[in-house]
Amino acid sequence: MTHADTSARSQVRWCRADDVLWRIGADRVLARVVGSDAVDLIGAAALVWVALDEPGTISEIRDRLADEDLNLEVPADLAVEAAVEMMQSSDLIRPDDRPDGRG
Amino acid sequence: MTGPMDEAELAERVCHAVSVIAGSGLGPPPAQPLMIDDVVGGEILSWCATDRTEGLTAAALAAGFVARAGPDGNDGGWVTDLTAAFHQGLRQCLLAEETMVRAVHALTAAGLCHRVLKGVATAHLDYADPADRMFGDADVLIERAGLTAALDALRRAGFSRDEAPPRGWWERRFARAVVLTRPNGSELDLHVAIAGGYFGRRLDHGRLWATAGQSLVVGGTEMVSLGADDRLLHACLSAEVSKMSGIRALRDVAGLVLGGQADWRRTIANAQESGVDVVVARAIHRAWIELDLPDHPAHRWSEITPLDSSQVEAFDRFVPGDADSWAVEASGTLAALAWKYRPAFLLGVVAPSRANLQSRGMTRLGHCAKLFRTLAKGRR
Repeated sequence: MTHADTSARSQVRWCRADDVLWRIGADRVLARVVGSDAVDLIGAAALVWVALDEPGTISEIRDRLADEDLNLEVPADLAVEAAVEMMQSSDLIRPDDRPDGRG
Repeated sequence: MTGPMDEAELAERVCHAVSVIAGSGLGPPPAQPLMIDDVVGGEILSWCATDRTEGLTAAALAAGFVARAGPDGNDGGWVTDLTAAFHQGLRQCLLAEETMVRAVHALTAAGLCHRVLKGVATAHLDYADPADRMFGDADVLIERAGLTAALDALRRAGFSRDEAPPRGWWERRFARAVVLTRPNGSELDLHVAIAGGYFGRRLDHGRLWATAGQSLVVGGTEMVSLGADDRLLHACLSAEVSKMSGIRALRDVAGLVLGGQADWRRTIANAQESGVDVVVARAIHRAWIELDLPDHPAHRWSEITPLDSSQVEAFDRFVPGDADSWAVEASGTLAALAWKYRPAFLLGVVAPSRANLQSRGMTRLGHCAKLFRTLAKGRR
């Protein structure tokens, strides 16, 4: 991941992809993009998914999670960014390009 | 320290726990949760596996209806096993939803109307959290006249059928559903009727199609389910005259009555018009007893309503979980059919095609023997 990638990602407003099927489990989010295998989102990734109930930038997501005890070994900023990168590469989220900004 | 439980005590405690779990979320949580130790918890896990109630049980734990009895700080035991089973069940739900998404795309592209049934619809429309309502396959209703077109469309979308029809014409005229699968093993039940046997035949499916459905969006795909009143009717049919529906269907019934989405009086009126109200009465009555629910006018109705004797007779013939239930269903269908249609129906039942017998691993002789055994059992 280059600095340019990171910078570009932080400018984007993210939303959940439309064709994702998902459930909130006991300690994780289970998700399945239609046509792909199911994935378990654990830890920060699960929290980011829940926080994306409304579309948001990385900094907005971080703010929404400010009161959560993330219990992470890395700074929250990095954890949120890594979760966004992982979910983007799994096609679980996409840039929000709708005019009303509601994903 | 108490001694080991005897079987009767264990059964009583398990039944009570099942009742609390199945009724959880229909009212406020109790002041104190019901404590479940690992012995009872082990039985609860078996019940979850049979009735697919891992979601309800996990929700009952999270909301404080039940709790694990055990040493503080020890989070192992039956709760750990439940969590693993719950997550596995959720993956199965997502697979079934993917199957439904593909089916709806195929049917819509072919210009066919559909109604999403049971798990997928109920989980999203009738439960606070869809994770509470688990299911293992996708069920969709189409109009009987569209069966051939639907099978073609679904075959093009990658679905296949393992079992050949008894007879093509018979299936189009009398079948309840065709089971289709995808290469990943997921199953789609393509229904042309929402129930089989006597009650499925009595039901006015024309009215179902004439009634507005309810939209839902699953995985970005818009689909249509039955309206809430008809979902309640279908839940009653699933609870009482369907194989292996278990307590999950009773919970659907109670949730639809108490949740206020369905107008249960209208459901009853529709059921009475079709001559299937005994099923609604029995389902509501059993839901209230087994889930130990407080008094409600729908339950009072189920206790006092006069029941038509031919409906009661047909109802009593049905034995849940009966291995020969296809034959029981066939005899129920026969009873509901006008005389002029009975020979054609019987022909398909008695003399299915060779391909159908082969796909079921049966010989013609074995098929006839099974049929006669079931008929003899029905006469006793």
